[in-house]
Amino acid sequence: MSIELDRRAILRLIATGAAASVAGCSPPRQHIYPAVNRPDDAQPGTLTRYATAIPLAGYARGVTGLVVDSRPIKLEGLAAHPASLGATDLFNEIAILDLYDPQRLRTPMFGDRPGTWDGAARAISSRVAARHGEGMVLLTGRVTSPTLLARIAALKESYPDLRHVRWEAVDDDAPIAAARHAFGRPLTQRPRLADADVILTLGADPLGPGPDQIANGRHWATRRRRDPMARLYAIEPSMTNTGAMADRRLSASPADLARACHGLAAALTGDRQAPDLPAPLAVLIRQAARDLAAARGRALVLAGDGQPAEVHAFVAWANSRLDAPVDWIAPVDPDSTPHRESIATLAADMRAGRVDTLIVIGANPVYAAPPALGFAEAMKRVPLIVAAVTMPDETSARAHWQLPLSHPLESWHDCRAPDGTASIAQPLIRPLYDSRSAIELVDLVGDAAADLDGYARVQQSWANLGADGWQEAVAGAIVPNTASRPAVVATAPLVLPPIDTTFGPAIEVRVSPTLYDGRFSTNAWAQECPEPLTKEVWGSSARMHPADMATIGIGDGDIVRIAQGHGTVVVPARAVRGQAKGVVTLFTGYGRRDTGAVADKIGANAWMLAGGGPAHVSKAGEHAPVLTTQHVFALDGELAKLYPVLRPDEAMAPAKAQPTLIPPNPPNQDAPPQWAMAIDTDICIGCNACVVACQAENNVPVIGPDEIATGRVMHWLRVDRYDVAETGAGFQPVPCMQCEKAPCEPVCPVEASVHTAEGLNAQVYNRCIGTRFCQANCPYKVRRFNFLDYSHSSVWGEAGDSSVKAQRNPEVTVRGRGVMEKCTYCVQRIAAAEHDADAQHRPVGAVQTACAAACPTEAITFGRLDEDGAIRRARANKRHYALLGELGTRPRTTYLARRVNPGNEA
Amino acid sequence: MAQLFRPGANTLVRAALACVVLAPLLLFLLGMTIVRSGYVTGEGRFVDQPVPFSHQHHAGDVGIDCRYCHTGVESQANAVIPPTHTCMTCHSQLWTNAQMLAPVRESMASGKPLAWNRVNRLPAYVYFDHHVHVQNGVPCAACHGDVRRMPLTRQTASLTMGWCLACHRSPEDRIVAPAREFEGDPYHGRTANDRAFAHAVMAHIVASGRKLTDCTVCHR
Repeated sequence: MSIELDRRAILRLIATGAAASVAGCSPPRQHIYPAVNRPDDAQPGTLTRYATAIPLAGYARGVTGLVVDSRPIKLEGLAAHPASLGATDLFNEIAILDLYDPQRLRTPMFGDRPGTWDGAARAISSRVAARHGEGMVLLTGRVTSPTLLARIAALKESYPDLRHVRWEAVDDDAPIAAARHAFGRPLTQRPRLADADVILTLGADPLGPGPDQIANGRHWATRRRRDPMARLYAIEPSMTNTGAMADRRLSASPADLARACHGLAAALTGDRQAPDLPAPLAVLIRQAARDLAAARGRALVLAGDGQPAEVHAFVAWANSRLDAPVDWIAPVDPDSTPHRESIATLAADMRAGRVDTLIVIGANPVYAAPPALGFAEAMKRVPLIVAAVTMPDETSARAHWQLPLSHPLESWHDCRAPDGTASIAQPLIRPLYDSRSAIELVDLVGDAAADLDGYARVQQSWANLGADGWQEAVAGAIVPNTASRPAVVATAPLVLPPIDTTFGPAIEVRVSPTLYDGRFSTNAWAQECPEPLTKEVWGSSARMHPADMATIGIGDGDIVRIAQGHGTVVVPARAVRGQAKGVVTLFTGYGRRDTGAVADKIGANAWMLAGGGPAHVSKAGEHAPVLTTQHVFALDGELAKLYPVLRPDEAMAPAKAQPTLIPPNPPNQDAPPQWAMAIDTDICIGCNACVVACQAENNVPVIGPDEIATGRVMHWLRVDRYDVAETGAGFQPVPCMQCEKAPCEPVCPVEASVHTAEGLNAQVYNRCIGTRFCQANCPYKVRRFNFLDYSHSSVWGEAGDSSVKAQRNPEVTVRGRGVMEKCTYCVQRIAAAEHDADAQHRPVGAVQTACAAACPTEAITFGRLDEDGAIRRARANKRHYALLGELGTRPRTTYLARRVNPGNEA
Repeated sequence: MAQLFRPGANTLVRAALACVVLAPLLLFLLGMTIVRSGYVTGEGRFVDQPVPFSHQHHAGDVGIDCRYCHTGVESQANAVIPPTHTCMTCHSQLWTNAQMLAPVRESMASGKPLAWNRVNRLPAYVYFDHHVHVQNGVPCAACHGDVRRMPLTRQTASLTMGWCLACHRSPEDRIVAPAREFEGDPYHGRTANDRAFAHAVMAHIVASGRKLTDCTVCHR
């Protein structure tokens, strides 16, 4: 049909089209989906808090989950839990991202094809039932969960030939062996850091990464706040968080460390011949011995988990002799077979064909077991391997069946803290994917047709609590009176470690403060979190002494090949402060494969070098500097003002008095709350819990290694590290100063950076047009710009980031491209508190920012300046100073100076 | 000789000059008007719903209190759209076979929520808190109008920042006593009681020193 189109017809058509398009053009519809059945006390869109616990390497730490709309978005500390004391560490903060990680295994996989749980159950039962469990091995990490242990015991009853092999890459073989030697039975040493006036660490890092970091940090800080100031001596191969905080520190190779033990024994007993010690070490040992002896009953010696058993035995003797504040408890881990022995026996059995079915739950031996064992090769001789993992890894890639393991936050489980306290951990969300918990998996192995219910099993385990006791234990996440009681021990005999004088570099493999043993490699927050001492991100390096690097002929950033035994590692080398001559230090957690876009191809696997034996370091050509977020660590000249270091009773020079907006004392009735923050750099241990807590709370995006390589960072809170004294280091967390005279405010052309009546410098994202003048004018450089659409781009590659959106805090805007952002003193928390106060017609209560809530040592204090409280006390402290105070910005965030207490040399 | 320009050329040039000055001004005024118009803000628009819920019937004729369904207004930021269960508390016994209520019954049976279309839309960077307003005497009708006269829910107010600020700058005239907040037309017949409560609220705000026009009160 043809339409005659004349001018009028055409015009009519155009008009109709225009009208139609205008009518059809309208703002998009927003939908609201209320629940179908909502519990009466549910509050949609409002935060609720639930107590639970999550394990690290098997040890529980209590957490409070902040839950909104039935999904957890943040983890905070649990005040009543002895391993948390209300704070978190880095690993607890990043655990929430693991729950929503797009790289998670979502469905059972048979090889590279999706399978079903039924199929897996049948595969297992057909093999296992026929042989009555002969040749069946269950390989797990450390298990402290009473329920899981009970289920494994039940499985053993059905299949008496079942072997449960327990293996952790980061093991405590040496201290347990030492205790066996000293006391005839395996015992774990629990130091009471709050009661120690003098501490000597021998390669120990109590303030460093580990299940005890939060409790150790808190107790150590408690003592440090008391006068007279305690003294910390550190002798270690490479700089650790503890060494950074030490008053006197020495870098020592393993041989020198052993010599130090001899020297200390000689000094403490007075009736031994002291060996030849290098002069600085001799001086330190003399002084340490003098102080330790003088503080008998309050003197403590600690040895690092990586030290050989003889050093631990020596330390047990020293602590006996000094009547040190330590408790010895029966190991919380009921299995005291040495980890290395367990995995070696398993590998040998596998290679010999004695293992028929291997079920792996939460262990990754292909990645972290000593390469000499040849675990991957041995796996080929096992007819059926089933690996249950949350995130695919090297071991699960070689398994026949990969089964998705539930994250602790989505399953009922229980676990024990390092001091023995048991926790019943409730899930905060239903399983996101088709996963099962470890308890349910063990039941499935026992009976393929079992009705899997982890909740019922946990309840069964704790039936002795009764209904009320169960309610209380779940609501508080703690089972009362379950802490281990200290054992009574005899005096430990003197054991002196042998001094190994073999030539060649000593390789030190240390646990990464951000990735732990590799279990957090896939976590984007962990990869982007700077390593405390070198501020390295998205990569690893080998730490070497400059003299050693010169001998090989390499400079900073040159790549070296390190070969030891069966393992070879190719990494960039770095000269780092505090590195002992002759020691090469590498961090674990890098060199991953088969895990996904985040962790693969980053760095090299340090576990390859953990086997011991002679090592060889050579130049490997090329240059590949590792990404760091801080490049200058030495403060000299004018810069020394940034991080003042005082002697124990010294006071800061008084700042020039300036006219003030701060309300007079007593507080003015008409003044709104004036928010301020005080950070005590004397007790900040650089753990980075605050950095990631802020990221979790405020929807700070991960920008990835390419952006960091161009010099951009996104963390609102950074922790600067500076050189302190001759051998130490200091940490300075830098959030937004919320200056009363903020340089960023007058320069914004659209008034997106404004000052509120409560002293906050507010950043209004919807006004910001991205001039970046504010960032240029900020002298503290705390402002972060969204150069790209970071919040909507993904570092997870093909996996996308849709599940990660579930973690986001609905109270905080997700910023788009071209918008400036910065620390807001958690204004959403302040606003929530103020709205509640206004609604209930009462004064505003206490507000805690995410960083202050996370800090294990309580170094960050947030509060009101217009009330008598912690902030006023901090400002009255003689160590108080404002960062770059002479600029006249009058920051609300102020600091307390670091102290060093070296004492007099003996 | 022949004229180069037609007679109207002068007029044309003068008109063009006038346009160069007036057109940007008019465009600007037009833009400002359009942005404030109901077309852009949605003021006065009725919104279709999966079930044509009538506030006039439920709140007006039947007399159900706002808080029976909107349970969050006194205790949290979110006013809360009721779950299907709340509808079924009555409609499991009344109008049980009504065609209009089929989607509600289906939602209850299948467990899939009803997809309501939001009437009062605020941008994502605005964080409105209901309970702080309701507990301080701001009636529902201040922002939502007299819903008892709405057979289908309508957006009554423009909900622009300027509109919010108008009240934040001088709230006294918009506050009523708590007992009257949930009436259909609370501003009609404001009594001394209302004014006294408004006065008390203002005194509290002044005493606390907080500025209701600080950016962080609504934006984070």
